[in-house]
Amino acid sequence: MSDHTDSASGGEDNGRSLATNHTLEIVTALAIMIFAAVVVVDNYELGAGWDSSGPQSGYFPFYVGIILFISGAAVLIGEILKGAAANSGSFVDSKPFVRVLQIVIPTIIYVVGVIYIGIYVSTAIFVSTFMVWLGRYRVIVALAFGIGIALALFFTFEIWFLVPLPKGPLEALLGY
Amino acid sequence: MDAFVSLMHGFGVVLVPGNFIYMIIGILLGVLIGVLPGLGAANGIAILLPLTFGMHPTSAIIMLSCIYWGALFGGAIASILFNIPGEPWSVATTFDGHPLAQKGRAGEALTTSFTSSFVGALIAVIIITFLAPIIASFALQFGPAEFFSVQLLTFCSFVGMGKESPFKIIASMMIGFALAAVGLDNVTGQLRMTFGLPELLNGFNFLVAVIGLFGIGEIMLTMEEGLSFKGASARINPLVVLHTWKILPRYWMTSLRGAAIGCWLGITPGGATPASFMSYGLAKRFSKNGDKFGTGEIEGVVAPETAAHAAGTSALLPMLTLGIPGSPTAAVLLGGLLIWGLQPGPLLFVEQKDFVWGTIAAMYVGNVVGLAVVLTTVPLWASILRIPFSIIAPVIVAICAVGAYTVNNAMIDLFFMVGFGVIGYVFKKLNYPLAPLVLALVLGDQAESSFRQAILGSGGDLSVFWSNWLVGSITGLSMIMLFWPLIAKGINLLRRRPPPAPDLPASAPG
Repeated sequence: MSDHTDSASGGEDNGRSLATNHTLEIVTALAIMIFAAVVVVDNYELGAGWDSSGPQSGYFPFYVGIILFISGAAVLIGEILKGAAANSGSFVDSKPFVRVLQIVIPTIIYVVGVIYIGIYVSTAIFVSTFMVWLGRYRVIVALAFGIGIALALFFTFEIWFLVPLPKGPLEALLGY
Repeated sequence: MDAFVSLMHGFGVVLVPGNFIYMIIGILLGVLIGVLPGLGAANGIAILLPLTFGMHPTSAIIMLSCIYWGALFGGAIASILFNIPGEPWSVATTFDGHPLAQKGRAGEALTTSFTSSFVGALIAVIIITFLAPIIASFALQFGPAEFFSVQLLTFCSFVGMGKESPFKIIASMMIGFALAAVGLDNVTGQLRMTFGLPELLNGFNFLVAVIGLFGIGEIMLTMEEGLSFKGASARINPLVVLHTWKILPRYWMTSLRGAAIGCWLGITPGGATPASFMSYGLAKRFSKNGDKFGTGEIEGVVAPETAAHAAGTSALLPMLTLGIPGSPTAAVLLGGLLIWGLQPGPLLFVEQKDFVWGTIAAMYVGNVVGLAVVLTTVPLWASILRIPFSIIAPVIVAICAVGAYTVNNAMIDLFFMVGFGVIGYVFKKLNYPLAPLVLALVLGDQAESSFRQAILGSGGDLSVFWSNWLVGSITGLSMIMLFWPLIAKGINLLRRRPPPAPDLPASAPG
């Protein structure tokens, strides 16, 4: 169903492979097992047995953690037994990975921006910058579009649906 | 004919001007969501859900379910014209839909896909109308043990019917359950897995997870594949529509088969995506023109579209009757029900007749309206798809952020959203299914509390899940589903090595 790995490596030059699927499978399985271990330990300490009122708080999640750990281990063992050669397809190549980072890093900056300068200003900057940077639009076009989106958000949420969104110094200046 | 009377009552609820407008808004938003990559039905509805908190529940579900129908219709537009499936269930539609568009028959392909979607949905709604009240009244006798066993069946079905590795399915599901348990335990009031962080007191909201996993994750995948879309032009005129409608009845068998597969996989949580592939595969095997599939056969569009829409619609049957959603989108709608103060499950049919039958009636009306809307607005959507991704990507991220924030008005949710986005990206690429995670996150608390109640009643004895024929057969079925990958392997092994000895004498004389 999801053959993104195949389509990404089709035809065009994608640069070198950064990691194989084999490596990522192992890393993910290990991460799942660590997460499961945390769940098991925390709920065991909370009490995963029975007391006078019935099953304790940790009872259900404790077993969830155990099953999670076992499935993670099963994926890990299966992958190791298969060997690196059987699953040596590239998880991600350098050029597509750069493109992924081009959206992930700005998104993180955007989220931090929302906290300090509010969602409307952040959105206008985010959209405009992205358009100039990757879309090669003229600054004036990009700015108009970015501000337009921010205004559309403002009128939809703040005015029409009366849902307050995070606001920053600029909105405070304007009296909101 | 009780159902029929109730349904007529439902039409009365729906066909008031206010609800009708919500319906049209819902369809338009839904098609937009379905057309745009990165905004699927599940996260689109998750984003818009907070806007409906103040609405009347019936109006809210009408709008949100219409977004769902709209998204089901809209997914096909991107698949046929641009060869990019807007939704996973429209992947199979690209196989024959896009070649048709390349031959200049985009109008026929689109009309076929919309009409087939409509037929699939209609058959599924008819099934819901008559089956839902029966299932609901049956489920009224359920106790905690029965409810837990039905939930167990839902989750085990993922293992039995999923194409992914069973361990990955279970892992994904258990991550969902573990995340659902974070925060305050409703029974004892104790804190679980908060590690002293006040942000984790309320646990992980599944809407935030859905927006991250499906929204941000999908944007990352789309970015990875590159930004360029090349599309065929689209025009639909009434002549093409009428011409196509004249041809379509020829494929009634394919439609019927597709609808049957769709309903089956929608009610059991297989989902629309496997349904569309299965229906396409079977149509290819049974059709006279099977060898031409993939080069632009109308029948190759009929099959997956009917099945996908039937599955998407019938996924609401277990949600309404048992409180168990058959798909991530149904899970989000179920979350909506809880937020609006309605307890999903069989009692809904007794206590909230207006709501239930209004919803079902809205499925009929919404699909008729949807068909009319998409047929008339195709050029609009095609032009939206021509907007470069360098504009669409940041706008979708911003919309996701708004959606994630409005769930709880908590900034921390924005970071959770990005985190879930990265998980969604990695999981999709490694074939960990996301649907079990979302469903477990939604149903986690309910499943846990029915499990606790059940074993509390029996004093910790697990045999309560086999204590009578009803709960026993559901639990038994769950176990078959859970171990189905092993059972299937066993059957295959037996078939491949047929005992050779008894065969020989039979063929020897002659």
